[in-house]
Amino acid sequence: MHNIIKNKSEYQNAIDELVLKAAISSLLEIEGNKLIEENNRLKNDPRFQLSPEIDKKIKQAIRRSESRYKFKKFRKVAGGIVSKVAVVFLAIFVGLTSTMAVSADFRKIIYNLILSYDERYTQVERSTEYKEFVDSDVYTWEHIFAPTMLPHGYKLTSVDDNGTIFAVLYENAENLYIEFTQHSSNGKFRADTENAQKILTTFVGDSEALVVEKDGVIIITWQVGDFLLYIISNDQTDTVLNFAESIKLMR
Amino acid sequence: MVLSIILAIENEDDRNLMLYLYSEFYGIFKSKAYGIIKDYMMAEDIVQDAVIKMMDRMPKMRGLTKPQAVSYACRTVNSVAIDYYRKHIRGTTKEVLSVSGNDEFTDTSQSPPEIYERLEEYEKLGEALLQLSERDKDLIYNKYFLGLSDREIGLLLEMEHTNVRVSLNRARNRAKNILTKMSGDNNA
Repeated sequence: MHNIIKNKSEYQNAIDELVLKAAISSLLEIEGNKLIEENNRLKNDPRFQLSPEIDKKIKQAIRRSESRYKFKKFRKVAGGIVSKVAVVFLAIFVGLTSTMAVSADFRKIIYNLILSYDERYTQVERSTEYKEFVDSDVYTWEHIFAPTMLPHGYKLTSVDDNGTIFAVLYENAENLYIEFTQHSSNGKFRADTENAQKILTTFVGDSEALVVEKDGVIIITWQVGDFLLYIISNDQTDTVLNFAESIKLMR
Repeated sequence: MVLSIILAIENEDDRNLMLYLYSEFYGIFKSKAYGIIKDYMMAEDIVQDAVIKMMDRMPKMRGLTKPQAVSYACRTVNSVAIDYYRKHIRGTTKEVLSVSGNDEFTDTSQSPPEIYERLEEYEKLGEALLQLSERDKDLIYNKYFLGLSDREIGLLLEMEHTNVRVSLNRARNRAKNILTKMSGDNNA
């Protein structure tokens, strides 16, 4: 066959190479599937497992990343909150919003948010009683918002402070999490509500908030003064709303 | 330590892929490393080294399916483990090197290359190549699937890069022969 191939045209050689590449790709897939099955069998063998500590750290990192991804998607399509003089304004970019074209409910909500803008967003009460806050020593920014109530069983598991975004992750033993993030709103805020199971507005304190529930994750976002606040969680809506309600300005 | 390195990956998609592979398939990675090194602690280090090595090849791994990525990652673990064996354990056992090798494959060419056209089923093509030695598969994967240069393959497989081309040609011919033979059997 060696000689036959050598004497064949370039065209035939090219076909040979393509077939070989297809076979290699298929082989990698077949072997990979076998390895995945083998990996599943090893999941009960402690000799081949990550230490619980490392495993937890990785899961946290993945979860955090997924939350950010969901939030990015959440920000993707709909309106804009522009924070100037503590005014919330949701701008709709019809040209970019395929979701808007198919989601009358969401359109209505956005219109309501735009029309209901008033001065209440500037009326923020500051609390100086730090002891009423959860993990008050963690929240070190000037004019920072912090929760005053944490749902039962939750514990602080990570804090991410990069100078512009302050994110705190709380988790419980049932793998439920609540991530609370705050940052200065700079520019447009966009929400991806495509195929969302629930879209509604509610009040968090004096601010009107957008609540989107999608794929088992609830996202609540609202604005207070110059701060854009949002919560991402896989817990029950009521629990997350109660947590959101508890958030107050502490400095 | 490896976790810190993964978390430092700038590209979020790459970081997530590595986190996913490392956490979800750590078991099979360690098992493969242990199969060669026979030391649990060392196998753990091998996996970490392999992950760091994979990070250099993230752009090429992005297009892989999950099974392909797992397969590729396991191959990387194997090569790191074998490399470690060569440098630190060589002489204590012979079985390890049987993972690679088998360069003396018999040429079974019988049928004309046109019969490739009759091999339409993707899976059958892959199954046919299961007959190749691990060494041949490593060479072919790295060259044809990941598009590595001879020098890169040499570094990965601990070969002189000048020998890579010859070994690769042999491996490719063996692969083609297997495909041809398989097709001939199917047509018999």
